[in-house]
Amino acid sequence: MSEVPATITVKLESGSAELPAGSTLAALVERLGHAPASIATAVDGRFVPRAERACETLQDGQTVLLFQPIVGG
Amino acid sequence: MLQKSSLPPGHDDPWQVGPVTLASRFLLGTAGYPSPAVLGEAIVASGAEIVTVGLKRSLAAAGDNGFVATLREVLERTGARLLPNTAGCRNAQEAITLAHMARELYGTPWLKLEVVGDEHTLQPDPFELLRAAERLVKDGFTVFPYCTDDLVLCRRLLDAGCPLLMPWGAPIGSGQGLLNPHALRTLRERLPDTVLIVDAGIGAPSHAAQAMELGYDAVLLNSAVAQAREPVAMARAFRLAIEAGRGGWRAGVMARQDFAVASTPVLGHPFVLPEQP
Repeated sequence: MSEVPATITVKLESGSAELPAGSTLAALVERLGHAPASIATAVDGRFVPRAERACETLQDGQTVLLFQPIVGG
Repeated sequence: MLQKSSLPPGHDDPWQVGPVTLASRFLLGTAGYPSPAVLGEAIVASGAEIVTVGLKRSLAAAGDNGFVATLREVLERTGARLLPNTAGCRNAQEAITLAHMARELYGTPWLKLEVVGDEHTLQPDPFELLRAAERLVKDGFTVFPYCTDDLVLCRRLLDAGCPLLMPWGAPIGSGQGLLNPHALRTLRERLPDTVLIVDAGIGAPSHAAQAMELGYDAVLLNSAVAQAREPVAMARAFRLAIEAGRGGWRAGVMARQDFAVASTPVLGHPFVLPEQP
């Protein structure tokens, strides 16, 4: 029986983050210091709605992108 | 007898985006202003009822020097609506994902759909644009597609359910004005009942007036105001130019002539002078 790793690493816009295995997207957002309603999220290019972040368990090697409002043309 | 309207400019000549009635025909971008205060004043001076915004990737909680906060405050005061864009997207899937993020963050189904196909010109990719539009309309978005002036593409975007079209005047941020008035005129003539907005490439108020004189319903621009020496004054100048161009279209611009046509109704020569010896 293979041993379950204690931590996972997810890729971010620049760099990466090490998290306890089983961490959710909601936990990552909080750890990065964002108010939940201030950003939108995607995992491996897939939009994850705010209401579903707490159910979105992150996997080792996934890419998480966070987006925030800005001015634009 | 001449009758003077007591309504503010535009209110006697509204236009529609779906069920939404608008008076201002000036859509203003919010990027590149020297300060949040100038941005706020420019929005007010423009009279815009629609302003564009974007999304950017973010690693850690970071500020934006107060631009978005100012924007929200001004919008609350003026009642202007947000039009989020998908700037930076290179294919349909990216645009679809970003569109859903924008809807969540900004709370509006309105979307300026941008899918760029060429890095040098920032020309829209017609194939990816159409693919994204078809999906997003089904997902409940009100899609404002930033497109080229190709008539067939425009028809396909309408078939996909876009309520209006936003063909480019010239490459984004170039300020070159309307590079292909013939194509824009053709769109107007072939799609007489479609809301058409010239988006991108406008550099001077005269360009905006020209678009309106062609019968376009509105104009969307950003850099020409944001990069002006005095953005607030330029926003006001564009507002007036758009109103003037629209007025010219409604009044009916005279047909062009190849040769001079005397305007004063004289009979022959004003004086009959004896010939000089």
